Amino acid sequence: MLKARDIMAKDVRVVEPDMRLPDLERAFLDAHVSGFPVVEDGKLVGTVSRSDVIRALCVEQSLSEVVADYYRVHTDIEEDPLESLEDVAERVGTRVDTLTVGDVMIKDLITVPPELAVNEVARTLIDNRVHRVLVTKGGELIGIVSSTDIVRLVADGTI
Amino acid sequence: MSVGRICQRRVDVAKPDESVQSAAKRMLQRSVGTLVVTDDTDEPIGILTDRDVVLRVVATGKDARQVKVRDVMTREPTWIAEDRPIEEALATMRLNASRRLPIVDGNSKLVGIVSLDDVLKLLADEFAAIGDVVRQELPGARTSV
Repeated sequence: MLKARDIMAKDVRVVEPDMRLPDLERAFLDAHVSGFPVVEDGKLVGTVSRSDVIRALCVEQSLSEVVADYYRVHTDIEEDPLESLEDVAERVGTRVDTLTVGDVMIKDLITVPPELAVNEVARTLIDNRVHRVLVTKGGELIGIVSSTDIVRLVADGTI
Repeated sequence: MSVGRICQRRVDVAKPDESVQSAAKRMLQRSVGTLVVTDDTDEPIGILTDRDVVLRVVATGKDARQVKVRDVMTREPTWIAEDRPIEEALATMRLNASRRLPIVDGNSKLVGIVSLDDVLKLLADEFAAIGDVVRQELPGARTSV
């Protein structure tokens, strides 16, 4: 039976937690991927995906809208709603510029050991509702397996 | 706006009696994770996803060359007629926790597929258009008479 180490991609591009979000977006585009493992001092500390960034931006926007609504409700002066929109955009924009990968990454890691059989790797993907799982040894990232990798093995008759 | 206006008309399909290995090859060739399974009259009778391949074939140790698509597909997929509004497609996706819906014509034949991404793209374009209008109305913006 094939193991995780037999099918994993070994050349995994990673990012560091202090990378700023605009640089992360460029990294996504450069690498043609939608997620990266996050590594600090050689140790795996998290993962970050486009959806993590979007989720963080939505939280920022919601917070800014709460602030804008507060001022609208608690003043007698009728506020120009167009100015409020501008304020919201500025607040979100300024905050996003200062956010880093470490602020939005997921720290709850789903990993498998290199000796795990492929059918168990498949079950890990399904049980955790993810498309990629990280292969680690002693806390160190050594590879990655995606559901597409497994479909490829099925397609070429390897499994 | 009807869902038929925004759906993808080129749909990647599978036949119920072909092997999962053959279907998996098509997923890779077409870079898709979903195939609509149709019968001889082009009616959608199932959906096969990369998740089905991983869960129902690999995780259970079955031989993908022997297993037929009909044995692992999700049967009786929810579909929507091409003349129904986009809001109904979104409600159907939410109800079924599905990101993709096959689209059929008046004879229940498959004519397209719509994804949540297709709807999001439409909404993003709409919001961009609203943003343009708002920016033009901001103080200092140039106005045309």
